[in-house]
Amino acid sequence: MLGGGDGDRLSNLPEHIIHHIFSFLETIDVVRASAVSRKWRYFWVSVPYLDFDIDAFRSKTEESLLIETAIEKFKEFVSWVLFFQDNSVVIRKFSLCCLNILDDYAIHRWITVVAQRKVQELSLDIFSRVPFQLPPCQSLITLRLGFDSLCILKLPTFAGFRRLKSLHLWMVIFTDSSMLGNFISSCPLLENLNIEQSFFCNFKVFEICSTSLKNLIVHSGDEDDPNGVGDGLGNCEIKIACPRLVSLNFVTPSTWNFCFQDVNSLQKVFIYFYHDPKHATAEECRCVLSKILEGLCNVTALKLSMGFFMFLYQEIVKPKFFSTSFNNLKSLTLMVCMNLDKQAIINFLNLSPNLQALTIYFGQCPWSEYLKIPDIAISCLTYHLKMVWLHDFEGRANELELVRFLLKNGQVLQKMSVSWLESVKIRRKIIRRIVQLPRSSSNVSLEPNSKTYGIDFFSYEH
Amino acid sequence: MASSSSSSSTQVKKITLKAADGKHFEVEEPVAMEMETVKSFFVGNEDAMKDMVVPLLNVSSEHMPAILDFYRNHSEFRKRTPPPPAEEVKAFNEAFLENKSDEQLMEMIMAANFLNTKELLNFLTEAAANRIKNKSVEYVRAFFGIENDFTPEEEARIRAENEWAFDGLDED
Repeated sequence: MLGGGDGDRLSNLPEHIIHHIFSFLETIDVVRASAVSRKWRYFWVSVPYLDFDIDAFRSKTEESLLIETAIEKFKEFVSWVLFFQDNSVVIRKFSLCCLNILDDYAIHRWITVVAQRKVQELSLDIFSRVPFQLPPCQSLITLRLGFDSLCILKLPTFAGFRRLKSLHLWMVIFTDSSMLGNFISSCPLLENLNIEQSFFCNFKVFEICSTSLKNLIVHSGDEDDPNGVGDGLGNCEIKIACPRLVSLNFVTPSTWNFCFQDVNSLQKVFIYFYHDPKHATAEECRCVLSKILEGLCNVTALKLSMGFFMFLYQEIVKPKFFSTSFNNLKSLTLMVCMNLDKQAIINFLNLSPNLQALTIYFGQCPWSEYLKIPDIAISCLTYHLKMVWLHDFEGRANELELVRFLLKNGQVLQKMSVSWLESVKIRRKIIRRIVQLPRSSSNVSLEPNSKTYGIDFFSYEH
Repeated sequence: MASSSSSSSTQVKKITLKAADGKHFEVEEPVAMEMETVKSFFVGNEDAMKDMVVPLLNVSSEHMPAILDFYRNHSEFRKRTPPPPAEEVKAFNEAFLENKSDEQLMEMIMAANFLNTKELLNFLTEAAANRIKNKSVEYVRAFFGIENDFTPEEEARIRAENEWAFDGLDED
């Protein structure tokens, strides 16, 4: 028998382990578990993790009580815990999930209490009728703040959160571009910034300048949003100047002005433009895309869904328009969501001499007329490209031509994996055709593999 | 042992671990180094590397095979490109916990704490939390092997204090 053996299994554990176990539980569970014996009765008073979710109260009271009563009981419980907890214990994490709560004042009161107790991590999933104001809280390291329905966020005008490392916001309306920019610049340790499902009301410029930021995710709302709060970042100039930025993930309506400054450490980039502009000429598109790609020429992983650009970038990545090459690029993912001439992919491969992995998502769209790809030597196919993943494959003539080209020219290819579009019925027939195609890579072994998310049917083993 | 493994350069180097009850386990070096406690044993002591036996005073041999299996699988998951599908990791984790009694789980938490591996400790503590989530006081008592020393009156008073915390729980 290990451990002391003198007490119970809980008393045998060191305190930090006990806290660790209870950190995964809601506070209501911790309070109840404390009722096991005299020794543990006031255990919850010093647990540094607090987690309140109104769902626990709603589900208990569903049949017997009105929703208003559940909310009142919930508020009473949170206030009771905060009142009786040991004030000297620093709160490691405070989570609050209370959609539809009746008054906003209670939330502010609670946050003020936990701010005084030097809370390090705050996670708020709330509902607010009025614009939400963040209280000052200099101890915060992580802040997650999201709303049940879109809510205006008033950013603090005082100096930013000095210790904040991660900021995650969702369902937020920003009304002032300079305030957002200033706030971010004034958080000197901010490494992760994630803004999702949010709107940028009447922004003319969206500017992120930070010397500490490493990961940036921005998913801006749709232009045709039901709340009519303006058009996201669609008509906005986007400027990103972050010398330590490593990964960038940007989903936005297409924009006309995207500017990177000082992003030499950028490694992984995902850009998704989801909207077709109505008033752009081909020349304008070409200009914007060239500029974006030039800003990204040092990255190692690139994932692009070009939306309206798709039909154009066959042109853009032609040497005529674009002279930079992606020398560091190891992994390229393209979402092919419009009528696409395969030549665009080939051009892109030509610009990526060291590419090792290629992933293509085929969109469900009628393909343009069948065109044969001329067999020319492409550096990455000859020396580096080992992995190819094709998603939502239908086995259309143009898709098969691309497969033929990659097998024929991929001299060091080790694996080609295909996942099917669900509706494709004649998979065996298509596989038979692919198997018969000539391959340049030696020692081919076929491994049919029917997993739920696709078929891994080619595996070139050495 | 040590000489035979060093004679063949292709063979993975092994490290011998000694469990609390004296039983020896031969473990591939990268797997052994998943444990901070083992790693720190060798820091600044590189000469001893080859044949020294690392004593693990707080780990019973009963749990060693499962713990080593966890390290092996999870380090493989971490290295794999593309990363393994979530279902695969979940399936392994569930199988790992299956048939483990509450007592075994708590002993393994102690072992993970001693071996100083965050990943295993996180995983086991969360598993323990999941076992007592939304359960009755009686169930939690049994889980931790705690004796009830309240009088019936005291217990009734505690319940009355936070009535709704004791209602609508999952079955034991």
